[in-house]
Amino acid sequence: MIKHVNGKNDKKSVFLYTLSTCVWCKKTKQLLIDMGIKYDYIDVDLLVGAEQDKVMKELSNVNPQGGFPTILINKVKTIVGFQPDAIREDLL
Amino acid sequence: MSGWINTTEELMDYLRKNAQEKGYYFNKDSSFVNELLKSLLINLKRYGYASCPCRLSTGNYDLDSDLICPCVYMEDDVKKYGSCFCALYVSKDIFESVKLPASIPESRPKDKLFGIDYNNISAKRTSEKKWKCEICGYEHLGNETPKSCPKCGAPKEMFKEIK
Repeated sequence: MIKHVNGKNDKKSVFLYTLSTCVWCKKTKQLLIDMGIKYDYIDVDLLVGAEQDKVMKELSNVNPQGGFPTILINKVKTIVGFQPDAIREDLL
Repeated sequence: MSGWINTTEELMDYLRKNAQEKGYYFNKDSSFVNELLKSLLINLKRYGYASCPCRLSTGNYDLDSDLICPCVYMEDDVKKYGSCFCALYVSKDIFESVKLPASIPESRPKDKLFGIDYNNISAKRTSEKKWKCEICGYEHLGNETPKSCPKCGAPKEMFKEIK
């Protein structure tokens, strides 16, 4: 269910928790593509039942305040919402 | 509701009528609004109600009722930040200026986001039927199939029950 997007820039590991319906999530994905960042993402709304529950539990650990998109960088840092300045600062 | 709203235009007419009565303003970025309408329509078909496309719905009406667009957080968010969580609705100031709305913090209480007992929901879900779209593989939980596949648009006849 995790989807991979290739990019020239793979200096940091980038993982996105997203919704397929969320416009800020779409903008975030597009910005990363424009920046040439390699990333993985999971559209949580397309998961079903126990699989969705598992990912939501994982997200609550990663980002207790919640919200989509949540970008997890190098498995430690999070950026929540569409934050182009913060994304550029951290990933370029 | 899903019986008489089948297109983004119909959904927009419905939301616009409500907005005129209440004095709400829409984001002026029409391509942004159109993306949101498409997503709201997906949720309407998927869950039976047009819940917020920027938050995760459970499919249980009682748990999701605060998220039905315009959500209960919209008015306060517009006052506080100048737009709602999705930026479908904006303040009069933003509407009349050239400023674009930005992504804002989540106002929905944490216990609604994560306080749901996911194990309990799974238990409830297992009593429901599971359907799979034969075209794209999308899986749907519920006693009936969705009206059409929210992922690929295939008609409901393409859903087969899986056990």
